[in-house]
Amino acid sequence: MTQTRLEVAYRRLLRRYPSRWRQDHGDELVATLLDLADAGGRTRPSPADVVDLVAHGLAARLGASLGLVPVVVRHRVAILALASLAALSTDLFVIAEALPDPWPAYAGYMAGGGLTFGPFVTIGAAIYPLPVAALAAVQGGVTILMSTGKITHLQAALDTSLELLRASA
Amino acid sequence: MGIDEMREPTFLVLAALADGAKHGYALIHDIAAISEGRVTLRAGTLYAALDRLTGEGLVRQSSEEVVDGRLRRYYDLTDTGAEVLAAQVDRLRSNAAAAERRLRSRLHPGGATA
Repeated sequence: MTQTRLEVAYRRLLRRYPSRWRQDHGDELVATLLDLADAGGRTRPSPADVVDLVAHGLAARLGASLGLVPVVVRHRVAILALASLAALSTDLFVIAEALPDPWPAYAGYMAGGGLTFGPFVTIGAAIYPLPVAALAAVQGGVTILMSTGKITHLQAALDTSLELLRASA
Repeated sequence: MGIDEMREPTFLVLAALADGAKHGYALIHDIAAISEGRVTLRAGTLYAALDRLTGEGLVRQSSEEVVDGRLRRYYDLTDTGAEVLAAQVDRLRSNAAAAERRLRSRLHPGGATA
């Protein structure tokens, strides 16, 4: 059977797993993903599946199962990672947009190479705010979660942040 | 893994295998049914669990077939897996019964306890 685009997408995600793991379980995992996609009328991997496969692929590489890490720790690490990315993006935004140009144009070379964006100096201005917005969405979700106790709100916020991060990738 | 810390997804994987061998998609489907839709395992999570449970000797690969070009590998409980699941069922039943008794004594202690 020729590979559909969806199967190609899933197999690309499976590259996150160690090759030995892929040899052992790759085909059955792809088969299950495709069965699920058929049942759900899906033509692209869902953001949640992307995160799931990347996380477990990494965990398999580390020789550890995520199941051994308590959920609380896992969530704390995820939030910290997102917060770090947001802080880095904020710094880059300031460096690129607010600070003076460290490489002024000389000998006919135009700084930014023409990749400008509206009033901003670099197109990074369109990318850097996304992780910040993602973190804000998660914080908003957590705040709502604390007040309502509904996990669905946090999931909605996480889905939103994943979409934002995907848009920036 | 001690059964003390058995997490719900692990319990549900073992429970879904209790009545016979199943492949990945059927397992996810059955786990959703057993948990009345509360738990839908992602495929990566399921195979990480199956890999771990196989390593712990609670689950084993039983057979495989190819349907429409897709590999279906069936997993089955080992005898140890069945024992661990049965022990966990006893434990949950005992905990649930104790909780239920205490809730009853809270609701009917002469009709007036806040």
